[in-house]
Amino acid sequence: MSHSPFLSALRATLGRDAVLSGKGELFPYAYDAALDQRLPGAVVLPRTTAEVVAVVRLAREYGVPFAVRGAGTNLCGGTIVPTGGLVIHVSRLNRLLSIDPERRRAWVEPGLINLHLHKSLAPRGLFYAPDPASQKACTLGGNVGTNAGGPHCLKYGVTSHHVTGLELVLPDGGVIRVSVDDAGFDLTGLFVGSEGTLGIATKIEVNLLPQPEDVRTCLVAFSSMEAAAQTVTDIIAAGIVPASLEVMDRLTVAAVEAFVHAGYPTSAEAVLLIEVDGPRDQTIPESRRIRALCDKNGGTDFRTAVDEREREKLWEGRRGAYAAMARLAPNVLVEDGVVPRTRLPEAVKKIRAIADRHHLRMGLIAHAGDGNLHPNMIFDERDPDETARVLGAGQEMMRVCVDLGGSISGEHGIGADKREAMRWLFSPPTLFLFREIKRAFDPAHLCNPDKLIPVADVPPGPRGAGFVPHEGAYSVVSVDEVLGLVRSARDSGTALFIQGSGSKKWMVPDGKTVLVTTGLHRLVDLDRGNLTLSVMGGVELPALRTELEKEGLFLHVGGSGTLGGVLSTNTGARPSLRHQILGLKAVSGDGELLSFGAKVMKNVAGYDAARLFLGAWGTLGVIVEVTLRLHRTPVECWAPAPAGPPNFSGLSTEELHRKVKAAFDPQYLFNPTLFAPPR
Amino acid sequence: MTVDPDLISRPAAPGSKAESRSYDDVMHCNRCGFCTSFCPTYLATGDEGLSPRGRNQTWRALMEGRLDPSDAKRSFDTCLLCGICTSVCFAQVPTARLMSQARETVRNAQGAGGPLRFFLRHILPRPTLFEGLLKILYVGKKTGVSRLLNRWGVLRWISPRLEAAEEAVDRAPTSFLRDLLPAAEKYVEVVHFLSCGPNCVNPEIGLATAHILKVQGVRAGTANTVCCGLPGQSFGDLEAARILARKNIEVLENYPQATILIDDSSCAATVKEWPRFFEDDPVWRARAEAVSRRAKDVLEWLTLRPLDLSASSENSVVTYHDACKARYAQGLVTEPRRLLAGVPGIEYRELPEADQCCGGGGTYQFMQPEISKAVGQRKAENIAATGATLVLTSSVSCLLQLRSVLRKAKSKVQAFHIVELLAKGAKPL
Repeated sequence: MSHSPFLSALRATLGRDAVLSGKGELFPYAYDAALDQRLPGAVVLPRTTAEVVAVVRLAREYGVPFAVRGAGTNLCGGTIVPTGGLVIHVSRLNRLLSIDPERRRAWVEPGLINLHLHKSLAPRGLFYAPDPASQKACTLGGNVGTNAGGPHCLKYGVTSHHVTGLELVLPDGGVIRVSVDDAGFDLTGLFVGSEGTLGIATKIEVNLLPQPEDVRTCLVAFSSMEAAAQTVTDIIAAGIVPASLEVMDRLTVAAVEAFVHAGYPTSAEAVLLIEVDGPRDQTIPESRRIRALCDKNGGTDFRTAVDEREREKLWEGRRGAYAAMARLAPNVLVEDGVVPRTRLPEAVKKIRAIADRHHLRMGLIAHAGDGNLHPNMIFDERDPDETARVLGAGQEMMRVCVDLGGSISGEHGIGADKREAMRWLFSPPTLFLFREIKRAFDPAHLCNPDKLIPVADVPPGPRGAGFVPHEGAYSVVSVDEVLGLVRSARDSGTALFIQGSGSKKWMVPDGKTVLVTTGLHRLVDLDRGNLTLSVMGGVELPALRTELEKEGLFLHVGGSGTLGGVLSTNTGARPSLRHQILGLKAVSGDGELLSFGAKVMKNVAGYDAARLFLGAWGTLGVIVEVTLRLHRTPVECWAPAPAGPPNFSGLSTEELHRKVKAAFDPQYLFNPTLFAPPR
Repeated sequence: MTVDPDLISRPAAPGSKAESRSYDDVMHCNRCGFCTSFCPTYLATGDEGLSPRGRNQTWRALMEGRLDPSDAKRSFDTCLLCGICTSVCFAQVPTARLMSQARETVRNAQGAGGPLRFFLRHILPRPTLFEGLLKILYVGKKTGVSRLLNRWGVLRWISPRLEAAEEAVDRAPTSFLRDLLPAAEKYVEVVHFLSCGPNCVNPEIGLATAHILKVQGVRAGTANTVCCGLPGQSFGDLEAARILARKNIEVLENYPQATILIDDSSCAATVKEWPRFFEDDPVWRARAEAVSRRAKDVLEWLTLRPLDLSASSENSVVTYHDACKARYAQGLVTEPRRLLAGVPGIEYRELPEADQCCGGGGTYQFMQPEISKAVGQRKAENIAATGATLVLTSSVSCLLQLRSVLRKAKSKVQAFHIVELLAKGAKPL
């Protein structure tokens, strides 16, 4: 390929020093931190957005599949292109473009290393919250691609909570800017975690936080994993939200201590690293209460870092947990599963049993506060039998997480390695929708084409409708009734107007068919330990809040009317609604039930399509069920009167909006006066 | 998991004992990539192939027959051997050491480097011959012939490496340290090791060290030592490195009680590493250990035997650049800073990224001029940011590079070896 016309065109565009093509130059791009290895046909190192655009256009012209790569630290083969494909390595797009201390925002390029951003912000008293364990090397672009988390996301949230705007090069070479402040669908939210399958972020706007006044880090040992997990549950049930709650098992601690000498107790079965931060008058009593809860559960060797150096040391031990395992064997497979927090002990027990059954050595670490587990299995990839056992065990462990109501990835992503496991989590109609979203952005199917979504199966066929909807209101009380009505509307081409409490009746013209959601008010699941609530979309919010408050539980969702109505229209609410939603079920214009998310705090499996419903004004589907975070403390919720529906036809990203709309509602059935079909 | 059939990892065919050891070491690189953002050549180029992980994986693939030597060469040759990667690697993969072995394997496979090998094995071990030749070359430098050739582009035309070399060497002393310092008697306290930098390029450094020793009242002298063997390691001719080490060991055994004081950190690190040169030769290994144990970097020596310093008259603002061979190979981080804290009348400012290589890397600055320049530029910017008037270091390789990049940046900052500053203020006891 070294003399192919494609390579010549790349060299002519970027210059020779930015195009790699010999086998020796390409080989280092055949791998990332996972096990996949495929040799690309070319690697480019662009320096500007314009160069990225030119490269993407050439790839499209020559029909070459491509993928963007940051530091290549990802753990699911997400940056490995099909053999002979093109790697777009953004390491030279690594500038910190601007910092706006007033608005606490910064624009960065995708190749900027997460730690370098931290170092630049520190002198200004600011920080960027997501801090994955690979922070020293990983890039902001990679963090956006995988919706990276890290130990501190228990309190501060994951990457999608902190990315506020993007400049994107779409797979056709077009450039758009999107922002969370934009009217219309939350394309920013959709892009975060899309693993480079929807385009390439060339500029990223991130949200910054003021450094907390005080940070307290403590370490405590337990004689069993169960006792550690119980302590975690107790701390959160007590209304304390630590910055992080990390647990490590004995093998991990031994591996870490051998290198870092952080003073971790090597004889304990489980070690808990707890950090609280905030104003001193909060952290001091909190750490005292935490100490008491640790004592109650039999914690020993409790110690608090006395200075910054000791604190760094404790963290170095935790951050190096994965790499330290490499001292014990040539390879480490880091699994990544997530379960409802309360199911953690059960998950640990089952995962241990799987490792034992396959005769594997495994260390276990977990972001326990989030229910996010990382079994680290050590092996030697040169031994095909051992490798197969490790991969098999990994799959079984993911199955365990799914069976316990969790997900197959909390923060590492799906990439090439977990595509097939997506079927355990998502129904065929939801997977079909994901493919449609992918197609909306990338019709030529060249942009990281073999990731995230399992290989296509047959699209769901139309199911029987039965009747032609009449004019006037249908008050539905079950998901089946919604499905029946939407399917009938679909088959007869009848427009459907969705109405909640009726506060926006002006939206509905006379003589139309109206789906009234207020009958969908059942409480589906209230998990007090896990602090999650699943409830149907037509529930009236004020009544729901009153009920919950009787139990000392709080929703951080303001506004009145139905939950579905507030989510669809209230984009200006504070705290932002997008951080409160863990899962969502909706009926699409195809008359299919879509289901996203789970009752877990972190979940990066699949596109974050649930967020598209925020601010969509009912134009994508009928929200039938929502899973929300619950809190032990109230906050002031501010819900401004909705600014009115966006003028979808006047948006700068109208074309993309239409494509996304078509993926959910190809016939423009829902609320067609708000988002009218193209003329 | 999908792997191209020809990229499937399989145990390497058995090579030499040294290669097998190297293979076992490289297996512990599990591709986490945490090293990449510290590597000066990766930071300068953004190319994974020029990162520690890229080098380790390339070396592994070469040994497993997945890559050819000609494909792997670029990755190996561009390594500065600074060792920062190992310092951040949880598995402690010794990439710099692996790269010496990798370069040797490639050279053996390609049968290349004949003249270089001849130089390393037959000229460098003979000081009269080597230093004589050097003095002849220096005549060219002194008379301005080489500068003229450079200005006319002749050197560049022959090789950009020659051009870079001509630019980097800014001194051409007519007398070497060997000529200037007295030879040691058998029972001296200190043998002042003749490192090539202070010996042949910057004798003023050696004279400063000698002055300090005199002030300290230490009986010292030079011995008939030769190059420490570092160039053999860098060029991947480990046999040449052993030839040089053996010659030195034989000489130094004649001074059984002397501390071997080395005022160039690159050299000191190599002398301390001699035992590792002889892993398959127990007899020489034992002899090397006995000698290496007595080796001290001048930074350590001065920390153990502090000087009484008079106040510097210059009122300088001083910063310090860590030579990689001091910081990573010998772990000397606090020592130079403590030494500078003891100098009255100067203001010390920590250099941002002091732990990053300057891009000198011995002959690297001539062999890989472009990368070296890019790495050096970053160093020059960091030096400028401190506002210092003086930058100090502990290796001639760094010194040449610092002076070269500062000159190119039209900076007024001056670069010196730390002993030059300390010798100035050293008061007799």
